[in-house]
Amino acid sequence: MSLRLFPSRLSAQGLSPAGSLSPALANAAVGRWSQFTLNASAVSQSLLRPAAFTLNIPGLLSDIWESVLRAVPKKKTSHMKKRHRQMAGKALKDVKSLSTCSGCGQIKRSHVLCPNCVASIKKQWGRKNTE
Amino acid sequence: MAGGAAKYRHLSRKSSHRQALLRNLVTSLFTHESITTTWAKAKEAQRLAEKLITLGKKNTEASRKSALATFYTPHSILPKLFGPLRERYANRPGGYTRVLRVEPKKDDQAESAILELVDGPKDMRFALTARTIARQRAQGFDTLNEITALNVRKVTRFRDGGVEALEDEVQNPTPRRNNLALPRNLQHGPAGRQRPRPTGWSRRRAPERPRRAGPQGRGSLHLSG
Repeated sequence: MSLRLFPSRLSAQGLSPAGSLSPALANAAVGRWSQFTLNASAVSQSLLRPAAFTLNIPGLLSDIWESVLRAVPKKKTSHMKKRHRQMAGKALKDVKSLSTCSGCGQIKRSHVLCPNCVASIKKQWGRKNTE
Repeated sequence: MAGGAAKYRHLSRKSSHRQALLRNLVTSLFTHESITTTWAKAKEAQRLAEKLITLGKKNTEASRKSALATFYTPHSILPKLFGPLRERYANRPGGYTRVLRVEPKKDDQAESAILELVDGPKDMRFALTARTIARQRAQGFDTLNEITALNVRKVTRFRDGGVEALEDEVQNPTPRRNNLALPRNLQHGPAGRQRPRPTGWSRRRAPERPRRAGPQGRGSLHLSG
């Protein structure tokens, strides 16, 4: 939100910030280094008075304003949207490798012991130990 | 991992922690003959357990000392390791332990496994093979399929009186299951239910005996083993 507020406040202030901005932009067009070496306000007063510049640059700025600077999400991404995006492709997979237990005839996973048989055999062992 | 492929699983622990874990697992394994843990831990504990049985088979003063240093309760385990286990595995060239995958036990759904001492009283593959053979006979099939035949071979090959022990296991656990875990038996289907259950165990067993000694029952085992 702050990102969106910041430029809009600038535009709301009208021409005076645009006037102070324009020399900086003009400087960038003239020479990148002059912006840092020279005093910006002095330059603006002496050289960059012409009306053509001050009129042109707000136009250019507004073009950028519409296309690039405004490319900010309009809404916060909702929880649902975010979770759906992040969980995409991570669903549980179907267990397809199944077989029939040769000990009890129930369905079991291949390469894994039948849980029924294991449980009953363990029960049996427990009884043997207690006997 | 830096320094090339790891030669062993680190099990997300530092060295001392891992060492303690493996000692604990191995101590439990030799106490109870069979343990259920995660598959990765079972495979790592298997390495150590095989080495310990090798120590038992060497049966020297040095091997005794290193076995003493490994177990947490050595005074209850060492007599077993250097006595019955050494004799049990005297003829077996390695492969004293077995890891069998089971359905996940932990609530994080980590792969679980049973680590067991082969040919012991808690040999799960032995019991399952016996169960399979018993079911086959109840259904009237006399031949075993390839996998069961292979399992019979694995289970009887180095066991003392292996075929007889398996035959006994095939015959014997059934009455106990009938008496104690009835619902389990009913799952076998109509074949299991048709058997005359309560009318005197000895009478039921008598007609089966000639079949066991006969060419059919024996033949299937010999063919495989």
